[in-house]
Amino acid sequence: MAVPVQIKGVTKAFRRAVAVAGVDVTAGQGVTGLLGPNGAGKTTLLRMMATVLAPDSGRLRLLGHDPATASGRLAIRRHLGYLPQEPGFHRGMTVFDFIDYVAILKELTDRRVRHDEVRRVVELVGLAPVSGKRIGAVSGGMRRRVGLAQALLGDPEVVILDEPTAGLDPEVRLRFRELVSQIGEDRTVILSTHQTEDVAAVCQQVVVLHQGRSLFAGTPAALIEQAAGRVWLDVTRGVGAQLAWRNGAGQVRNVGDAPAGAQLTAPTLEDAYLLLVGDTEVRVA
Amino acid sequence: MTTIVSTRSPAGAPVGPLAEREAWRIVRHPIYLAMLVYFILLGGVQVAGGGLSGRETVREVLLVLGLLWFGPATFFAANLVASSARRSHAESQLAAAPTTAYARTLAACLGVLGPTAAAAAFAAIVWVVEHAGGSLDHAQGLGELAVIPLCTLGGGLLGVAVAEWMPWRGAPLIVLFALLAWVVAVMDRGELQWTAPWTMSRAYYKDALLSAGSPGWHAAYLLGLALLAGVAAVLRHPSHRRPVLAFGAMVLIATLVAGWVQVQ
Repeated sequence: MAVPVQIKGVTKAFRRAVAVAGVDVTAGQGVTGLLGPNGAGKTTLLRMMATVLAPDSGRLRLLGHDPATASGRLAIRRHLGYLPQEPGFHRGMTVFDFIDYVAILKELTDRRVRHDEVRRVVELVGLAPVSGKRIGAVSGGMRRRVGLAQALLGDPEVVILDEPTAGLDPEVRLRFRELVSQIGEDRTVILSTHQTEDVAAVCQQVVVLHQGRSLFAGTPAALIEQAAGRVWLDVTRGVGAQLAWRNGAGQVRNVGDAPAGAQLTAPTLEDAYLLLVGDTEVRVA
Repeated sequence: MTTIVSTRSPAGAPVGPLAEREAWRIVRHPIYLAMLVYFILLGGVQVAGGGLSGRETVREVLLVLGLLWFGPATFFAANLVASSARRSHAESQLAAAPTTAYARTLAACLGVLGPTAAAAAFAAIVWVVEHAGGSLDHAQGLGELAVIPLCTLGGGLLGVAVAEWMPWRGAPLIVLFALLAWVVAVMDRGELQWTAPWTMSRAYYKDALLSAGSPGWHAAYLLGLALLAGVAAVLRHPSHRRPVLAFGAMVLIATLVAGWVQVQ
């Protein structure tokens, strides 16, 4: 069986601005996180994966199909769930009606089967109590769930989620995390985020993008390993620190090139990410 | 601005259910209600103090609604439904579904058959009011009453075409004003009166403006205009362009023939 997501040397530019500059990504079953600051090219890459944007060059295969051909796009779309970064909704429709509408677009034409499927995803994302409400009347977190519910219609083999937790309160974020983890049990989930905690919590693979290029691809543990020996605690900001902040215990956590004899501490995914991307871009993000 | 990938694949299975859904969305659009209130008031003003009998009063109000409400309201409702994905920024989300943009436009066009069926039922009511228990003065035939559903069909398909080709705010209003300007411009010009899309009601316009020839052929002419609007709507997408163009060419010829024959 083909690897669900295979991307090699994909590029995309908008006029002179290069959004994606030769990225390679391979993703199998489980959750793969795309990590990077704003403007790193995550959304553009995901839109290409979701077949709504054509790459300028490179090779892209989803579930063994080539999205450059009409038949390939159709085959991919039949097994794809996609939650864009800023999903739009017909606000006058009820939650149920909107998901039902998308279900028709996903070729669920038998009314009874379709309604059963809509009820299933509505239950799955915890929207049952508000399924009869107009989308315009529910909270932003609920709307995100509507977006996730429509992405899960038809039990797609590949689910692409573009910053699904952006702007959500901590509780809702944790619920999302649990849900994404469940979905990734038997499917391929590509999760774009700039929240390192989300990646550390649910991703088996991580790809770090920066300025349209892939800086790292591997497991979160391997990424953390890259930061070993580069995080230390001190009473003040260290000389070689790229970033430093005082933690809850009153110590200064330094990330950078540790001086000899420094009190090293175990790095986190966030430390590794900071070191990889560089503090300037992280501040911008 | 980024371009969403369009697909040339076949319309596919969901067109029927989607058309049914779009029909519901169109007929349930609140714009009907808003415009209904206005035209009921207009009809009321028109009949007030006119010395009409009960049936004539009912006929007058129904005609105002049939001729002035169904078409424009369907035009706006279909336009708003067909453009809703764009206006609500849902395009890229929906573009990742297997149903193509072509199929969605086709479904919106077929969805216009919903209000068209309602307009046909309305025209039947007008016919009953005019003919049951003896015909009223200026009672209309089927060719004249066909204007009601045909203008509804044409209005709806034009609304979809405007949503596809003029995706900016205010475009439907501009098109409607252009349409009204066309009607007004030809109203007093006997030789061109037949070109206007709703000038055939003898009961509404009495005898003052009738030189448009055969009502039946005028209905055929209106059907042709409506289909041309539908052709324009689906031509926005690359799928099936050749057969759609061929169909459009045939409809154009038939429309011109119907227009010419009606005034012979």
